[in-house]
Amino acid sequence: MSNQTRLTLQFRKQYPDFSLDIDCNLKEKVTAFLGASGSGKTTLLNCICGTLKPDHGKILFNDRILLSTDQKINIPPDKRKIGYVFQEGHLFPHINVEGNIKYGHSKIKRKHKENDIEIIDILEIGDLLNRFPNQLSGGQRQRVAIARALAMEPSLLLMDEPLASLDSGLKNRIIPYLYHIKERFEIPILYVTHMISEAMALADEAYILSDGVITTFGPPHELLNSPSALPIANMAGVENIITLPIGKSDKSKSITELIIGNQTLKIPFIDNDIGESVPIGIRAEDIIISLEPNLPISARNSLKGCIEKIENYGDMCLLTISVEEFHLSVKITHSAREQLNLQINSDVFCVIKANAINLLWHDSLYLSESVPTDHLPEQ
Amino acid sequence: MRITPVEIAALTLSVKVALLSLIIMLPPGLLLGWLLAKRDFIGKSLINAIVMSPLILPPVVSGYLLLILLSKQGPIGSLLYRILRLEIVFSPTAVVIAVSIISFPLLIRGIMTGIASVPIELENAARTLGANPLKVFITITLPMAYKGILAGLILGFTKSLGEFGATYMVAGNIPGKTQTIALSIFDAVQLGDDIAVFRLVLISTIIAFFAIWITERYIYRNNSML
Repeated sequence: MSNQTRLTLQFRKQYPDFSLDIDCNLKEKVTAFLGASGSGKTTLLNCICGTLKPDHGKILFNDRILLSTDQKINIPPDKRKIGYVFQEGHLFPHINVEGNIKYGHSKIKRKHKENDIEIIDILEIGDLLNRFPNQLSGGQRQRVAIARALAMEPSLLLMDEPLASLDSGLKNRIIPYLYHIKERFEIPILYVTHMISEAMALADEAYILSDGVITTFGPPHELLNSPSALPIANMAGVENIITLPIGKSDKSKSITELIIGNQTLKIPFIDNDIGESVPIGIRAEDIIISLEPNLPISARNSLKGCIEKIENYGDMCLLTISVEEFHLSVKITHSAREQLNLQINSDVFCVIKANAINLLWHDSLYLSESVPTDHLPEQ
Repeated sequence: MRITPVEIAALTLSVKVALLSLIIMLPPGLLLGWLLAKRDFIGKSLINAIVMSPLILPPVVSGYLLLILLSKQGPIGSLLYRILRLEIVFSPTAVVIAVSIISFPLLIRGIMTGIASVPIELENAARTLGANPLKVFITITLPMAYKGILAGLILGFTKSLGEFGATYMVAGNIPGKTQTIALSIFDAVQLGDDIAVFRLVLISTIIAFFAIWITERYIYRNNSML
């Protein structure tokens, strides 16, 4: 959002078994709300667009009061001019693509045409205009849903996990479209997701939502090292998320080395610059504990560390191991722990296969492929 | 096998009354169906019970209640007579009223099923796109609920054609004036005119099957639009 733009959210919505309590000021162009399912993300968006009324509080957009329970103001959704892209698209099944896109045109304003052409062009849906929603693939449907929300020329765009219903291949093809929308249109976007990678690719600022409250916020890259990002990572099964700089890269050996203190971590080759920070995720089960370094095994990484904490985690044992200035969570069986006689302050080696290290994000993944150059934003 | 003028009058009256009652009851049916299917309000279940009661009460009972209400001594009938000099009981108007009340539950059931099947998310999506509640109803809810509405209309129509008990109570059985096809079958049976019974039964059966055929064809098979 530009300097004048500001979305103030201060409200509370109470349910018998859940409550959403939001207090924040959004100023960036693209803000992501990250949270597991059930954290209140959709409730939040519904309150902002007006289909749900908070019990108490206020919502201001550029000093326009959208909701104020104190002043008894509640602007209905059709008067808020807030575009909404839903998780499942929610296209109108009885209207063709063109009709869906034009549905939000206001009667007063007649010059929608240029804007429509640009939207249809950017989202590459020109060939689909005469089709009905049931004749579209999942990715096409979401693109049309995005086009429909943009065609009403909203002053704010809400996106509720617009990629969640798509498989990962399709996701990577839609993200460039979203990126271009962000660059091309002067519309602030509020993006809700449980995928860290989406937040990283698009957002200028991210808020982490957990059980209906904001636990932390900041630039997405910084958030990854925050402990409150853990629940989200856990949901994806990735307990360890750290951001490390690239030390060296060797394309012929297909290996890139990341620097972790005085040690290195080898990951599959990525084509990024030396020194650039890369967020990675490692599942706690994917780390093997060894008492000796340099075992004759195929795994490429063996990080020296020290056990800080030992906890019971169901029928598994959860170790917290400090490696340089980072902490890694490692899950092993109780019998393994007994056999190795692991105690607090034991020195151990964390053995990690290069392929067990997940890249959570890097530029090339989203921005180099599948984007025709003529769609790149003008500088 | 020739149809008598009285029978033709009964047939036309039945069809006219059935169509007229649909036209009259459709607007309140849509409004009430939408309220009952989509809104929560105090007294909703009471209204629902009242609207549905003709379905569970014997038609003769519904007809009797109408007779009490509409007769010259009744609360509504006396009012109409005093102000407009209108006598409803035993008139064609009474047939329309009886048939409308009896077929209304079937009409509104169809409307409610149709409207309830429209996902609230789509209606909300339309709201965020700037549509006021009326525009949402006309452009999203109605077109998406058309199958249920059509089913309600057809069921209501066939029910109206066959209505007997309530019509007999409020409108009587005056050939050429208030005698519907169902009542004329009753007359023919009473008179022992087997050929006339056969004729009228055949006509009613054909109409009923035709209605079901239309339902099948346009509601249950034609899924290409949705």
